[in-house]
Amino acid sequence: MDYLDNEDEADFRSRLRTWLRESDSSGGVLPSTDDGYWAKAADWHRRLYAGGWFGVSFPREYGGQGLPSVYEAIVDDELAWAGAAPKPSLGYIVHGMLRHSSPQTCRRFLPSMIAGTQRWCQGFSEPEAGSDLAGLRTTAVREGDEYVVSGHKVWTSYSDIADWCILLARTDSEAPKHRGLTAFAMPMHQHGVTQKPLRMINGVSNEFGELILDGARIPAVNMISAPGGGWSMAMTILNHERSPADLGYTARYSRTVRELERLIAGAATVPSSTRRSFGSAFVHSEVLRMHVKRRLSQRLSDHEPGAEGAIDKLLMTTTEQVVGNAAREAGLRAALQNDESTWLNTYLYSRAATVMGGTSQIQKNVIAAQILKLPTR
Amino acid sequence: MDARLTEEQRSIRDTVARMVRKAAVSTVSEVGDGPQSAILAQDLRKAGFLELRDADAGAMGVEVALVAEQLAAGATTASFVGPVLAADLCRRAGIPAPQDCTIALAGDASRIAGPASLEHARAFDASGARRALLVTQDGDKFGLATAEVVEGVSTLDLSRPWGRLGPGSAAELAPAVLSSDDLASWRAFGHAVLAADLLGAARAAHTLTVGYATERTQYGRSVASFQAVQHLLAESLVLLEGAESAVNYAAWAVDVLPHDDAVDAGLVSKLYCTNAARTICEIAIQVHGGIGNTWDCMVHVYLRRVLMAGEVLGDESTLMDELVERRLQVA
Repeated sequence: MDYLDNEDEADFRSRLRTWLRESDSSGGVLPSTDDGYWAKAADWHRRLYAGGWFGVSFPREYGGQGLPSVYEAIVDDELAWAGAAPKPSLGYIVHGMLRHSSPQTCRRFLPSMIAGTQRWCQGFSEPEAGSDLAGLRTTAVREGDEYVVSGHKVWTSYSDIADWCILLARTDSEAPKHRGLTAFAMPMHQHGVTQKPLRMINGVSNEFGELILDGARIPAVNMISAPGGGWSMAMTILNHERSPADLGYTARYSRTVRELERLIAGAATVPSSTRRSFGSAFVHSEVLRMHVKRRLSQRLSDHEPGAEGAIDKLLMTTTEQVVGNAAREAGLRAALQNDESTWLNTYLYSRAATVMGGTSQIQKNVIAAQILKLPTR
Repeated sequence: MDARLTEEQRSIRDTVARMVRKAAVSTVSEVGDGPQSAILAQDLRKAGFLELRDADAGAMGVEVALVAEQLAAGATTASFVGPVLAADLCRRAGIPAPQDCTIALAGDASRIAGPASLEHARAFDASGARRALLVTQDGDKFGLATAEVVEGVSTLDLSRPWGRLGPGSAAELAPAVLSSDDLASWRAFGHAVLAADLLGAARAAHTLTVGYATERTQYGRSVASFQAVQHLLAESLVLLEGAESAVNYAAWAVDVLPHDDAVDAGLVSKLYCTNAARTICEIAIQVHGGIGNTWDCMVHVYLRRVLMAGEVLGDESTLMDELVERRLQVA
């Protein structure tokens, strides 16, 4: 067991450090504290990619560098220490395609997705299909060389800026509910797609949206899972989406904790309860960082992430909310004194962590059934 | 970076697990110093596990943590953490560890004891121990002494014997060669090993509980089939996974990372594991229901071990204040 860099890793880290020092990586605000973030995020994605720091563990043939997944932990650590914005959270879609789509599909879509020149959103949840995702009602009906889509998607992150949507739709209404779903790459810029922003409790309206799909058209060649294989692809995507290793969120938490450190160190008086909340935030964000290193190392043994993503998601969301609570305690006073709402918005955003990507309750069901294998009766 | 256990590390873990199974106690009345624990102590010695912190052993923090975790899971009295902590401190002072020597803790267990007021100090993890290590101070340097362990003393921990020290039995062992940084590094090692002990006890309590909930039926169904119970058991597993990651990292860090990083990792690991292990044991009691609240149910043995391990070398509030102070200094 060795957490230290080997020679190649150390070289990679030092080049990244130099790049971060020399480029404008201060990165501004964090996601979801401010509507301005998302405009900057696209630029940050392209600059990270051009520098050779995004998609480092993705296959070379699709624009990645084919490095072992532990390099992702190096990127996250260095971004956090430089106070830069975290890397874009795309890994889960990439892994979903790599596993379930044909080489032609991967060649067509992955390079521009990884380079950040084409932006993607994920059309899974619906007003009537939240935790019970397989109950979704959006349909895709074949008409000649196209599929025609009708339905309503919601909680669609980045829908306002996306060029493409990974759409999960019902293609077979006769099949059992998990078997009748197929995944498509749906072009977002067309008449049948109407995007509406959702304003969240922190006031941000550019992260989440809903999609009204009314006769949207998708070329049949844009089917990216096997027919009826949409559920299986969605599960791969969700397993990765639940993994802090793929999301790069450790960088976000570590950065927030460091900013809290400076806020508290600079304050004249800090109640001891606030100091301890900050301490808990440090403990949890560090344990998550240690955990991600362990998980990424397990992937060195060709281990494909499975149900343990549910464990990782609960560790991650607990961290997000412990950090959020420290931000609330330290930040409420700042909010009173100078209308500074960033800290409070960090807290408010943290409440979504235990809902999105599968609620904590669903994660516990997964752990009980698939890992602990507890009886059903 | 490769945070997987090496083949050798897995083999050490499995060897200790086998030894522990052989000496395992499954009922509360068997807990304590008995023939089984004497056999286990002998096995540990023969396998060389008590020498993992000797001068020529190399960087074996991870191996020590693996052994400590397995022993805690067996609720065994055979001493290991105490003697290994003593050996580690002797190594730092450049002397061989005395035979059958553990460490002495000051009255509140928060730090290693000095030669004054031996009547309040206690030998920690004292099964089979004849002497306990003390720290002496000379200006800004620290030396070592030992005191005699004269008799066992009962604590709330049933599975780890503590001992009383002979008043006036302190004898000098090494002159003042240790710096305060040496002591802090040693303490970080202690935090990592105690975190492993906490993890082992909590894992055992959780495993027992999953078994019990599966066997126990109510309303004609296994209790473990109820979602409310499943969610409690899932929460425990999440804590165990976080704790394992924290222990691995800290146990590795103490031998490799720069001083300040290793100290932080030790604090983080002990703080996380103390809270996690206590929560897991409390869930274990809850899921065991009425039985979980009886003396004969093993779960309280693990809870007691966890409570005491949490106090050793600093309780949660002490360590948290210390960690926050360190971080704010950096900022």
